[in-house]
Amino acid sequence: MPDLPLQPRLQGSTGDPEIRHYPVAISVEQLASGWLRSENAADGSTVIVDHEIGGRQRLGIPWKVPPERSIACAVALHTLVRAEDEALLWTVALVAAARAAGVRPGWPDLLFDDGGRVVGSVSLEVRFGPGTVDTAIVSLRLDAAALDTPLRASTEVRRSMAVRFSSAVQDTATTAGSDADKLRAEYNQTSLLIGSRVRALLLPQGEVRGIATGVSGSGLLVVKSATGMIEQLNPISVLRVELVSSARS
Amino acid sequence: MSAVGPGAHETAHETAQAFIDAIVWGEHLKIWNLLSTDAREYVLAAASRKGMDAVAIERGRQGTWNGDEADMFLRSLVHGLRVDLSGVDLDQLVVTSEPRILENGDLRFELECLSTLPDALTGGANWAAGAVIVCSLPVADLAGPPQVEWRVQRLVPRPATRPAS
Repeated sequence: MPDLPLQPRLQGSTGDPEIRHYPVAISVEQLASGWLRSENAADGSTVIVDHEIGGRQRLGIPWKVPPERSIACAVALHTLVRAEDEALLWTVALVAAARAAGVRPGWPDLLFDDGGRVVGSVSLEVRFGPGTVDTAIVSLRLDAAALDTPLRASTEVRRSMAVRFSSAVQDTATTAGSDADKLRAEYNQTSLLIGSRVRALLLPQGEVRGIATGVSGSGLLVVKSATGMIEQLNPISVLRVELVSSARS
Repeated sequence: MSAVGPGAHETAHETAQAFIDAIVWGEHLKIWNLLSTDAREYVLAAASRKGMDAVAIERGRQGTWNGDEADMFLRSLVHGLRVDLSGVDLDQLVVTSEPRILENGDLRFELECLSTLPDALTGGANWAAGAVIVCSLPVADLAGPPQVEWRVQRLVPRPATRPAS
């Protein structure tokens, strides 16, 4: 076969998630979504792309890290999460990223290093069935230069990260189904936001401020004010959540 | 007119600033505690017009509503106040320290948004962003001199659209 840019380069071995590695593509989500739709990709099937032409994060925000530093992969997941608990899949993605890359999750998508610098993000595309989320594409994008990896993201680095992320996504998804409290506890422990003063910028406008106390059973971020007013934020209504250093920043 | 002693304006300023901070940080009980009786009546009347149960409103007036009832009502109040301030960058919002004394003795503190534009464009002025009006509330203390507490009478919102004069 000719070495077409979209031809898969690597295949996973038995026991590992099936992996398709492309040198160039529009985005990892596009390929993973196509794989899932047309070939009913198995749980954990993973797409890696070296050079994304139009990689986008949540809300369509462009991923601007240069290709030589970028690690981008997407994992297909069949789920039985209730449709109303869709937001819990963001926690699944964040905890999986934390496990795979040793980063500190924000909410709902950004990933930080210990110093609070953004080093990547997760994103989520879901397809609904009757009352449930049937399938999800969970994506991870990292800036290799910000991690304890070589400054240039090599094929081995990308593949190793993708295998770890795929495995972590499946583990955390299983945990979400069997013991969601454990998953939430792990998120609360690793997240940079929990226990801190935060400002959530809402869509289309407005903001909520308070102390982030954790994620709810449905995956919503719980923000509590000093007098106990509790607001639960859904990813769909949040532009971004920022740390606020002082009482009025 | 209420007796206003030395340093009273400073306390009034603190009240106005605390009210704005409470809105920003969603401190719903603090907001309610900082409102004057008239302001609370205004809020309850607005809730009544929007269909809130009359018995619940009376419980609010008496301060006897239960926790959930208060949370729900005051959360709506906080959201309403945030909408009032939605045209303003809350990070840049300050309460000016020199109030204007109104005819009835209330104090009007202007709100300003710190300008982030070059001075050449704004003349170094901040942006007018509305006002907070506070009133004094006599506190009964037979043993000592007359004292007052300050409560928020009204929030006058406006988008920060032109430099403060």
